[in-house]
Amino acid sequence: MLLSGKLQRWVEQGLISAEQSSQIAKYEKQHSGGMFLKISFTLAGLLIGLGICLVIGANWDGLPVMLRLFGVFAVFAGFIYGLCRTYALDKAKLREFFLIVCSLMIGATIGLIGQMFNLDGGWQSFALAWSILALPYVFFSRSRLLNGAWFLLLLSGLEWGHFFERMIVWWPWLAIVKWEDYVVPLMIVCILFFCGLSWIARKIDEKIHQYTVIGEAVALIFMFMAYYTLFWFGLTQDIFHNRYVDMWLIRLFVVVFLVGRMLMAVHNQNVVSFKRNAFLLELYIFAVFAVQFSGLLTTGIGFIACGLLILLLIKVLRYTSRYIKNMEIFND
Amino acid sequence: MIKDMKILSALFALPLFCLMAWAVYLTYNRDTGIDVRVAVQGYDPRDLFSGRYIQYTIDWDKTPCEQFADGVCPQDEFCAEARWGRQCRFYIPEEYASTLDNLFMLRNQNDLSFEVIYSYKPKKKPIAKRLLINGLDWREYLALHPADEK
Repeated sequence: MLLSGKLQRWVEQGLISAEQSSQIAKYEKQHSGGMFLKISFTLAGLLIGLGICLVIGANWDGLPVMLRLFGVFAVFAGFIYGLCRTYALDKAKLREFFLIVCSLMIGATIGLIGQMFNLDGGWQSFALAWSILALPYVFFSRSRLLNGAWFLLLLSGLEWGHFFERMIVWWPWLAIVKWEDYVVPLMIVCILFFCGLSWIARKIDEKIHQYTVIGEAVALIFMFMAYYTLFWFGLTQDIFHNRYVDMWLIRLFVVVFLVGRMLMAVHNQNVVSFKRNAFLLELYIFAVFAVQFSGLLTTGIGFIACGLLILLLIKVLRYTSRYIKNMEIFND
Repeated sequence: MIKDMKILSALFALPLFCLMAWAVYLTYNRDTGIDVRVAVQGYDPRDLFSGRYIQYTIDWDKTPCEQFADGVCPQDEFCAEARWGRQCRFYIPEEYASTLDNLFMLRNQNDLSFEVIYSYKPKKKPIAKRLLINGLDWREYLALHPADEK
């Protein structure tokens, strides 16, 4: 239903006064289209920036070396000028466009210089240089997408995966034990470690949020890593390591973790988080059954059972959604 | 937060100046180094021509070391350390990638020698300048041997 229709109904029901209705209408008129503009500028920035990267990558041989170099620097300088103008004109949404393009221009320019001088550095040095040089643009951007992408680029440049693998496998204290026997406890430590990092990033974000959203993006990425590890491991442990105790330990941990997150959501009065974790718990239970009985999918009965299970899941999710909506533990 | 536009502009222009300085530094190193010619061979076990650049490693057995100071080949200064040994790159236009790949793979049958000219300065990263086939720039070679370009 359109806002005007809703407002009329609310006035008729006595929920708001006619004056409040006109104020809301006026406010919405002034602020509507904000999200559309923001998404449009972000998308345009991404497309133009990636387009420049691709053009430079593909047509670098068609132009003389110096022209290419000056060309890319001139385009880059033009975007920086545009970025500075958005501050002078106070165009916050257009600013995001220039910040995204400038961040991508860094990668394009490094790539071009690498091509021109036949540099043989690998992805890590490229990603690290890109992320360090793009920091001024990312810092001033309010886009979580750009901040998140930047942080992933930085992790990639720092060889995070390699570092993490080493940390788990080659810690001196692990050298004296057979680490494969402790995969599940180690994974639980990893998940809690990610949660801890996310918590620290969230706390830092509370202090710096008015300046930058890097903290928020980092907190979200670490939390995503925790959930990803939780589900990946919670579902594959019984496939890769056929150990009964490990299997039940990780399953128990998944349930305890998600229930814990739900309790935290109640404490923080965060109905969205509560709903998300409740859904994930149900999905997990469903996925455990699906993995356990995947052998049945070779028979017709198995297909029917799986289809029925999906219908049951939908029913349960809808029921959960309705139930949460009416829960009294949330004030609103 | 930073309110001064001059500081903000300088901050935004800083990455551009860093990249410019890097390009100038590389240009200076390339133009002031001495040219050395090194023989190249395949970088195993990965493909030699990945997209638009050639991956190779230097064949020090076939490279004359007299062109370097004291007659010693500075093997550790060339190329980047990779998983299976030192790996170098030479960027080429995409349309010639498969042609050069074929020529390189069949170099022994066709009696072709592949070399790269580097700009070399002691203690600085050498910069690859030209790729030679049988002593000719690869473009000249392909122009003189159009049949090889298929």
